[in-house]
Amino acid sequence: MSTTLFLLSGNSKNIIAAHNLPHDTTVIPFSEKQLLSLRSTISLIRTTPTDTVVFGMKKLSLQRYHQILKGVLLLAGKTSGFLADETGMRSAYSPLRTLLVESVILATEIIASCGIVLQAWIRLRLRALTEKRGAQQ
Amino acid sequence: MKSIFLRTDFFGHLNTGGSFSHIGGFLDGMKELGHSMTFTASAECYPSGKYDFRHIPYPFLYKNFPEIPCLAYNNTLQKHIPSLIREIQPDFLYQRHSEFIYTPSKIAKQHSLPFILEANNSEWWWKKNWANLFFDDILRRCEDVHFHAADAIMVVSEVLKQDLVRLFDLPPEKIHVNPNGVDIHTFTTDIDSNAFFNSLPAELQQRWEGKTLCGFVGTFGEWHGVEVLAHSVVHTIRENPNIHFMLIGDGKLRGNVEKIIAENNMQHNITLLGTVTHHLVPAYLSLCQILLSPHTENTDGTVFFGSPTKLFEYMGMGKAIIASAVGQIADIIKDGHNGVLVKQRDPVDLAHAIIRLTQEHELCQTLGKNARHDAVTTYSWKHNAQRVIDVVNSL
Repeated sequence: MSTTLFLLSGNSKNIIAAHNLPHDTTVIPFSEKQLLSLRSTISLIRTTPTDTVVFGMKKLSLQRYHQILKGVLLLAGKTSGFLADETGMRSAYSPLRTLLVESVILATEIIASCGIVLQAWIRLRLRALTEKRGAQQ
Repeated sequence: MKSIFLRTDFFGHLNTGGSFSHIGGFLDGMKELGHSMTFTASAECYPSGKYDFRHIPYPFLYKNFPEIPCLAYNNTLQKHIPSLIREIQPDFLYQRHSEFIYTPSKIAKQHSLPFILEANNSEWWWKKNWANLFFDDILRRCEDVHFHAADAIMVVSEVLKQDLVRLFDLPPEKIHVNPNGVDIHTFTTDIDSNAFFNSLPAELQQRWEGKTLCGFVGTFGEWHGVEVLAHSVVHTIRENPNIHFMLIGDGKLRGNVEKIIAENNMQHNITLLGTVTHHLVPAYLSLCQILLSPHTENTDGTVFFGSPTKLFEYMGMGKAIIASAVGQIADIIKDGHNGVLVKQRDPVDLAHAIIRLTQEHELCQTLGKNARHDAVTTYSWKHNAQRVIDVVNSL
């Protein structure tokens, strides 16, 4: 069983030790920026000859893109993997859960995010108008 | 006085770096002055029970897109802060400014409370120049509205004050300069460095035994000058191979530093300790004869606007400091009195200053003594907190 660690942040040695990953784990530096190009990221994961894919990071709770990372694993056809941090915390990946649960969460987030942006845009304009008017009076 | 401190950034967990020291130091300073301050953040990063802490977590749903969680956190604050105000009955609301947060000023106004905003930069400017910014117009408007609504803005340097006045057309009289500070009881000359040295792993002891250590602490950001520092190692060890460099911290430019070290085959002259638990930092610094602050001007050519916490911590340690003459650093460090100033982005000048100080032991002691004196009399966190209280009282 081969394992590849895609390192988003933190120290690869600490992550390998914290999760008892095999000593011959291949470490590939990876960045959030690469995720902006989903197609090439999926292709990178797909063409990496490995059984288990681990996305490593300093702290799981500080890492964004959980669902997107799992979606990438799914689209790359990977069946085994997880998100892991230096403190020993991990977020499990299962293709079925990603398809049925995580994708719904992601879709909900996309819709809610549009609402949040619109809300902020309206609120800020209104505040600027009312506070400017208040200052003039 | 009673008040509420709002830490509103996404990275509430972070327990290293300048922001961690800054917030903790300020809260300690307020406590020392006898004021009660309730601290809110998205995670508890200080030892449990140290402060009156209230957990206001970021919303669970927004985890996949940048900037959105911060925008959504405005709603979370709007939900939690009013009830906290009713409970605490504070005399003022204090927020450490962070990206896309614009509601605290409105909440303060709704409750007729003075609102003090601590701005360590313009996030809009910072992200435009140094990071990825997706919602440019919204962030600009967030800061414009929030800065104008604040009753007073505390900034760390005069340069930053002028920047905010220029960028947001703010009245200069509402912006107050309050440099960072140091915990003079933790960063002190009283540390038993021999005992600490003996407690280190044998590998480090062998590496550092009999060497003159030059130390650096930082998060390896663009403005920390770590690449300049790495280049200066080559020039320094050519003149004096007995000098060894100890770099504490981790961050964006660490890879570049490692590359410079490898290219110049300097692995034996420099130790990258990585992130070190905050309470051990003073002990490591106590092993050094010289401490380095090789900051640079901003990448876009504008003047360095920061007030590096590390500089004040170095001063507290009573060590000889070599610092770049940029922004506020050039005001705090008086060349030849409490440190030595060098040209920014000049590894040769930095190396010369290091070599010179390693040869002048007495000068090192005088510089360190004066730096410690300035830290105790002007730059402790108690002084920092007092400057905020003075501003609140003047409103």
